[in-house]
Parts: sequence; structure tokens; C-alpha cells
Amino acid sequence: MRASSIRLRPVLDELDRLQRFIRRFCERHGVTEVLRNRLQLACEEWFVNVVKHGFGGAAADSSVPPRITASFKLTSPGEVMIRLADNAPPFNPDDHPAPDLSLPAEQRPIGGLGVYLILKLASRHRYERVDGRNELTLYMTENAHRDHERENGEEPT
Amino acid sequence: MNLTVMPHGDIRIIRIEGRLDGITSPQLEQEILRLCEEGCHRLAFEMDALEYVSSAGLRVLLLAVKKTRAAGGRVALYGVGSAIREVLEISGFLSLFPVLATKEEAIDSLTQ
Repeated sequence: MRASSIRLRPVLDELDRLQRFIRRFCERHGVTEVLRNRLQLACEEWFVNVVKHGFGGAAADSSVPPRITASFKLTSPGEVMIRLADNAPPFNPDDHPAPDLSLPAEQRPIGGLGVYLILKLASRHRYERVDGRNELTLYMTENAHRDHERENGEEPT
Repeated sequence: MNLTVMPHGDIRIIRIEGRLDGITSPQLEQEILRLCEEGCHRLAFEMDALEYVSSAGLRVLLLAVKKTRAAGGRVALYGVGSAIREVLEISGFLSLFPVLATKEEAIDSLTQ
């Protein structure tokens, strides 16, 4: 049994529970601190976005009970697959504009880095809208983050 | 997260211990706004005990840069570990302020 899931309520206070869950998963599976840090970072950015913009956004439908889940699976030593699912309005991270990192401090917008960090930290990723849910699958490894352009990750064969 | 502010002449050294995330970053934001209101515009962030930073923390660091520069001041970081450096690098933050090894170097860069 190398996979585990957590269901989260759409409030920011749940972040602490999510981070502790990831810590326990990593301890149980001998995941290194470097990889644990990346998992926690990607999951925080995703969760905060879903709570603030997904369920708190203008397009949110309050008649649908919020459902947010994060699942973790050790796919090989040193690689973790994360599947993040929520029933907030559609949000495809691949359509999200990348921030302009060449701007001087005065012109940098405050915020807008979260999605970019998620996609940079993953060695590959895939987004799908399935049955009214956003499903984002991330593969994270201990190796350095990717510095090439983002790709639409296909499920490995 | 634990914050300690230490004066060094006109400079304020801000030691951040623990995790700078979506939950704790408002605490640092309040501290920076308070220091700016008091007229402290040269800030050195001591980060050797910082374990984790997310975009919420980066947002506050950018705010510190904007606030201090608007008042003719500056920001420097020192003692940054590899996990934090990786996040700063991916986010293009290494060009926003000097990231130095020691407190002395940070103070030098802020007093020049």
C-alpha cells in the first residue's frame, strides 16, 4: 500500500493538516527532505488557489458541496505522483499566463507565481476536466526542477 | 514561524525561523509594514533557520523590496539554504536583491 489520500475542506486553515499529511507520507516512504519540500510547496500553491479562486471566485457555484482531495503515490524510489482534484469551476493551469520574470521589482505584480511554481517543480504534469472536476496530476522527483519550457505531460507508459 | 527583529544602526535585521507560508506570511507582512512606518528602509533578512517558503512568502519579500525602494532604501538576504534558494531562483527573485553568505556582507551591501 503505497498510495494515500486526504480530503480537505475549502478553508485555508486546512493547509496545516495537508502539510502534516505530506510529512507523514514522506516519513513512511523514506522520501527525502528535498522532495518533501517540493511536494509541500506544489500542494500549498494548488490548495490556496483552489480555496481562494476556485471556491471563493466569482464563478463558484455555492449549490455544489465543495470536494477537494489530494492523493499521493510513490511510483518509484525518488518519484511521487500527486493527483489533485476539486469540483471548483474549470481551471486549466496550462492556460494560465506565465509571469514575466525579467521585470524589475517596481513593475513586478504582487502575486501570480503559484501556478508557475507548481508547473516548474513537476517533472511532468497533466490537467483534465473529468465529470465536473479539475484533475491535476504531477510527477515530482528529487532531481533538479525543470528549466525547460513547460510540456503537456502524457501519462507514462 | 518565529520572527526576531534586531537593530544594527539604521539597519534592521529580521531573522525568520521555520516556515514562511500562506498561514504565517501575514505576520511578516505586518512586521515589514510596521518597520517602514517607523522609517526603517534598510532591511537584512537572516534566513539560515528558514526551512520553507511558498509564493505567499515571496509576495511579502517583494512587498519589502517595493516599500523600501520607494523610500530610497534596500533589502538584502543572507544565510539562504538550498531549498529556499531553489524557490527564489525558479521565481526569478535572485535578481531582485543581493543574496549573500554572511551578516557582515549583508550589512556592507546595505551601508554602501
